[in-house]
Amino acid sequence: MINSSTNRIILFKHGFSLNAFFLICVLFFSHCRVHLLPEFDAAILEQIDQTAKRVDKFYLELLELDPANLHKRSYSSCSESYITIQSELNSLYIKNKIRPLNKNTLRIVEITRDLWIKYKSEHKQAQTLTNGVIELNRQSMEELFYTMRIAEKIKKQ
Amino acid sequence: MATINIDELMTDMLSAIKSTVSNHWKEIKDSMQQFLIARKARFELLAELRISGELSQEHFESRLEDEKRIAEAEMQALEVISKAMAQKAANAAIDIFQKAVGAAIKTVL
Repeated sequence: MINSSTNRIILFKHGFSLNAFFLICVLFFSHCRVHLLPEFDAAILEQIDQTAKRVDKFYLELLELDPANLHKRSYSSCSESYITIQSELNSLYIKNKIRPLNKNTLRIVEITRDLWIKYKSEHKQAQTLTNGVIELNRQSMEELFYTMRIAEKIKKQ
Repeated sequence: MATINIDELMTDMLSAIKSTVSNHWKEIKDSMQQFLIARKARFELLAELRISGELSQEHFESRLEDEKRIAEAEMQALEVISKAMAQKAANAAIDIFQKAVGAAIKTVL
């Protein structure tokens, strides 16, 4: 009788230990996900798309201007657009900076912002831009926004 | 005006890459080809602008620095893609483990 009850207690203890072990495992692994990247952010992807479109439109409009009236491509006539786009890039930089595990995307945004500021300064210094330089700037920016978009969209899984 | 054969130039660039990574050429060949193809139009334009004098040598070199930074951005994106794939694979393995443990509990309880 004593033996039987002891066995039951041992069985109970073993059963309890086993159940507890499995339960802990389930609880642990149900919350244990591998995170190497931040969560996908649809609003950021939308902002990347909108900024990319704005940049593309900016350069395409510059290209449309009659080359005989190159003064219309003067920096002063474009400064507002430059500032608006820089402000969008600053906003994207800040939003990405506060996201954990996001150093790669942050670097892409940083490079894009730096080049945008560089091209703005070059325009300010030269006062006008040739078709060739506008197209070169447009293509470089297109490539960077495409890269930025890929880096955000891949997080959606 | 002098011209440049961009296809020939791309082949030469690919050969230059090959000579620096001889032992790993097979592993990176496709990526490097894609890397150059993606830049073909921009490199062509860049060369034309320099040859025509629209870009000064200083400005041209500055543009090449920009290309290095664009390439760096692309490397960063590739790292994000690798991380996303690794994350997905690891979580799939954990899901399988979790389901197996859950099934084992049902048989014990």
